[in-house]
Amino acid sequence: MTAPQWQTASELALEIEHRRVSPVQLVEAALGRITQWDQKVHAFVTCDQDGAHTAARHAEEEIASGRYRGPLHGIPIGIKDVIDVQGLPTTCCSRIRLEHRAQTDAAVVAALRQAGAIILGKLTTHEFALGGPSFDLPFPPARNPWNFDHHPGGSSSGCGAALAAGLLPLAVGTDTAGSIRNPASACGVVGLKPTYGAVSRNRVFPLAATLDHVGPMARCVDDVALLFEGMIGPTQWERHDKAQSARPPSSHREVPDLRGLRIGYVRSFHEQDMPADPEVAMALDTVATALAEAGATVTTVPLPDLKSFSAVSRIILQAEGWATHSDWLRAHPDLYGQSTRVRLLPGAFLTADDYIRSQRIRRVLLAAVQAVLHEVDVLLCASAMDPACRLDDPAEIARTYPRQARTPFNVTGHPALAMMAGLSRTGLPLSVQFAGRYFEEATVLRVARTWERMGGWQDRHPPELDGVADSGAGQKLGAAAVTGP
Amino acid sequence: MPQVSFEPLEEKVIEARARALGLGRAWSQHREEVLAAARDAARLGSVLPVLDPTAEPWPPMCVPGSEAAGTPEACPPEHDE
Repeated sequence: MTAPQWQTASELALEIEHRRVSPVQLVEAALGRITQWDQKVHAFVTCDQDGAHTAARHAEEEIASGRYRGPLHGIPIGIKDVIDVQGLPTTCCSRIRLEHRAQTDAAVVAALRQAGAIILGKLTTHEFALGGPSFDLPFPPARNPWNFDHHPGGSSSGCGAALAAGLLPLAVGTDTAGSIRNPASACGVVGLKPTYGAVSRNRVFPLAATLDHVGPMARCVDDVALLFEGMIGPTQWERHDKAQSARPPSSHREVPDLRGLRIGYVRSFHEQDMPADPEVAMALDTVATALAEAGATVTTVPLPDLKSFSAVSRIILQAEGWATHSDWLRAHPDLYGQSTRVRLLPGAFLTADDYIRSQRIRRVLLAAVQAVLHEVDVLLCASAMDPACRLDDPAEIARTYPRQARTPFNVTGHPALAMMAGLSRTGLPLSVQFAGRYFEEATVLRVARTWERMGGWQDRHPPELDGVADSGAGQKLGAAAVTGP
Repeated sequence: MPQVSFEPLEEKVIEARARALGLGRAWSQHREEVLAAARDAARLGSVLPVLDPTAEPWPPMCVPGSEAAGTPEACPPEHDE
């Protein structure tokens, strides 16, 4: 039987629906686990114990009286600390925002509350979703549960770390240059950057408006699909192609059949543009072979050089980031962490010509990706070129941070998902990325689900945290049922 | 894309530019970072190719309904609030 901390949201939803577990029990179990582990993981900036208890009791009363809202009802969830949750600070992990209190919920948080989710708290981010990992901020950086000395990826670092540590089953992150998929890759969980604009960014602190995305993270593909559906709401979900196949019943464990699906393998990213660590390259080949065995037609496809995407992405990000931060940077440069400041300052010196040319070249790159996605249904490519490096090695962080293939899909806005592709010899997650056509998240999820079930990666957890008996409330899970009609 | 060489910007030029941009305080407190930022920006801009100003592609301009005109890539889909 799956240990409580590793149960998926989809499994927990069934337990709640059939009243074998109550939302209050779930929240108490999560809080017990956070108390036990977060001093090492540093995933939480704010843990809203009172708010979570109140919401859980309310959910329990609703379910007991027969008003079950759906599969997110009573499920604890964490929110990256750049997204407003009413009554809580949105610090962006910055000194500049320590006094902030959100007056209302972000639209995505409101949608999740409406679906019955329980907001457990705010999760660590690199400062303003950009700098980091940093040791000169008011909050310590999150750590990788697979090895606490290593980087969990970022900027949605708390989301990845909390999921991998089993502190909660679902988290909402943001992704401007890979910030959902980087921690998903480093922490061995699943992160989806949806189609640009698919999830509302209302009351989400911006980094670069034309590159910013909000998206779901979880420990398995089905949970990512579940959370994505809750984030966009049922009306929006209907706009998404093949919606019906996106979220099969959680008991459906067999490997999906990919016959008829065409997958384009972008080898050039990790073989030519940015040669990957050999273990990463081998893992990607293994994924391609497995998907072919599942029935897909896998062919090698060309895309523009990663350096082109990277140059365009950096200029747009830094120009738009400067537009957001210019007043604060002029008045209080010392309040920023060094890592954030050095990433934002170049934006001041970029010219209008740089920005306009980048936006024009962006359209050339977008057209190239669109052309390939006319020929294939899904792209398979690298996410990170290396396993996570040590957190205390700034030179290695600087070397490995740009070694990734995630920014192309921020530049183009196509949906892209990163997940585990294997484990390195040193026991750190290796990753793979799947990207698809606009609004065809369901097809991307279908491929990801196939690989997950073939690889069995959803059942692998950080050794130091696996098999460790929970203290306190976690042991009570499943011991009692919600009473009522 | 073509690589274009550039001359490292003179410190005095960068200081004047930084002050004109309102970054006097940053210059005083984090001079090396401002110097590096200005040089980084010059390097970034220099790697972009020159495009014909009279021809497509132009920067995206989002017009509701532009999908119907056959240019959906010009208008990334936005969430309906």
